[in-house]
Amino acid sequence: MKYRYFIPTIHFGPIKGTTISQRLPLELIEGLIIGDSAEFEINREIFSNGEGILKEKKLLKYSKSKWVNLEAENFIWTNLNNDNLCYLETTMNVTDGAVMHHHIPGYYVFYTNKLSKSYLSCGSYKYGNPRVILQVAEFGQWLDGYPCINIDKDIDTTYSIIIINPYNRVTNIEIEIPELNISLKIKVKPKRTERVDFSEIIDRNEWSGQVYVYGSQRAVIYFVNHKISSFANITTIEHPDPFRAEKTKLPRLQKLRSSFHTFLKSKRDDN
Amino acid sequence: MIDSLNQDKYICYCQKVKSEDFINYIRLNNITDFNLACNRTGVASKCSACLANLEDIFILEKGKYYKKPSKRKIDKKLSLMQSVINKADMLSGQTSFKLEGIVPILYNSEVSTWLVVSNFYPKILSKKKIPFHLMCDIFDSSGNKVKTINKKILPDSNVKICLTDYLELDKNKIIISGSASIVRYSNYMGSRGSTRPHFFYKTTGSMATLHTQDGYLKNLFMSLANGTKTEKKILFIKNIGNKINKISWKIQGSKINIKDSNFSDNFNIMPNGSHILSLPQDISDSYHTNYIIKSSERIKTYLIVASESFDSISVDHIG
Repeated sequence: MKYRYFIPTIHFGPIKGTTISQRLPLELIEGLIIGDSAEFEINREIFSNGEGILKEKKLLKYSKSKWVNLEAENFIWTNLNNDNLCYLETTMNVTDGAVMHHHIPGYYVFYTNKLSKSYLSCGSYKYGNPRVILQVAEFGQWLDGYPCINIDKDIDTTYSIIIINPYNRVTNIEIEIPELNISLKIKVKPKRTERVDFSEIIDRNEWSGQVYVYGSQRAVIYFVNHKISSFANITTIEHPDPFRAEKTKLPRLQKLRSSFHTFLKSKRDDN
Repeated sequence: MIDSLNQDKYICYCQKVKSEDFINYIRLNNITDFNLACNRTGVASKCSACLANLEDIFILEKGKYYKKPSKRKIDKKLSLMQSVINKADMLSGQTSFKLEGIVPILYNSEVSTWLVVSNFYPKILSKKKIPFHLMCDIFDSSGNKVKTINKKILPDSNVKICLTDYLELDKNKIIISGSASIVRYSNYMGSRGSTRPHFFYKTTGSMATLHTQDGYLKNLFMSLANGTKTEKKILFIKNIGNKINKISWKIQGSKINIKDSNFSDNFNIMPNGSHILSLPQDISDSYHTNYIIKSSERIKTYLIVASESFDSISVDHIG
């Protein structure tokens, strides 16, 4: 197949005082370009509280098997004065030429600030996730989770769930903690980001366990480990672990095909 | 892609629209606008996960890059190929899907590594619960196996293991590595669920979790943003091969002298052993430092970012 765009990616935006640094994986994108030349239009937009607060458009050229203007590769933005949570939406359209896949290869963005250590996070595809299709087919709804939310009030650490709604419709999601029989319904308006701190809904000094999040319309979810006393002091941002609808058993021949494919891929990668 | 589309009952499960219905609508109404096709048929208006598959169909049907193939021809070809594969799969019998992964163990007197495998279910799936099995081999940094753990994880329970309880503490070292090889599977038929093994580092100020992962490589390129000068960036490397692994690394494209051993080096890792490589930042570049790592055998790598005193540690897959 030939494509003229990559599926947009969503990243959690930097909190106030933090810089987000995105470097597109051009060395991997290069391998997806059909032919030796292409031109891309890269749009980066920060949304907060339902509105776009920053918009940037850059052109990136690949000519005779070389990247020409590398300044479009990087996006660096410091959130100086926005107290609200935000997210970054990155679209990459092919204005000349074509690519052979519409999923951009995985890459990290970095978050740095002057007060604490840096952390990184991978993006989430805005749509086109095969796991979500299987979930809706099997369970009738989208179903994400995280098996290890940690709270320890003695060492001032907790987790928050970040819910990003990058779509144009309101999304209603349910957060469930099966072990503690806790459930919470959240409504997130379009183009907004909400946060729920688990230390505020779990009445325990110390707890580790499973959380689920689901709904009829998908939202982009991240889990953040941070200080209870300060959300600004973040240790890590992680994506959820989807509840997999795929079966625990598979045909032996399929497993053999899969092993052979893995073997060939590893041989190719070794070279 | 077409292969999987034809196996699915619907192209859009939310709206219960079949792929042939979508194709027929495009053909009958001569639709050339993808958004219009979606709006009129109602597909991709809810969870939107099917958008990419819909676009594949639309490009095959209306795209300018390919000569339009006959749907009958595709169906006929695929159905014959698919039926042969399906038959062969059926005759081969079934086996459990085994999810494998590596845990990068990190420890000292104040840092410990915990493994967590959950088998809790959300209330919407209360009738589909099955048990899982966990196999865990723990290795020290030299590659010696120090412990094997086998556990059955019943529905609505989880397993938490402090992996560093089985490793020796060396008080002369600031931080020590080890590793664990994890296999998770079920002998029962059901959904694979959300029971992917996770691990976290418990420190005096953080408990950041990550899922285990497999996937190995020999060459690694990393471009990392420069953080505060005091933070520590560490590359955890496990030797997956069964020979001594010769590793070399350097900073790429730096203005600093890379012959300096602080900015390039070589070392060996024993089979099943692990190593923690402290990564210097390229102070000549204010934003990023690029690293190149090469190995003679396959390796599994994780990037660890820690505060100066190791009271806040995060870990991510890299490569």
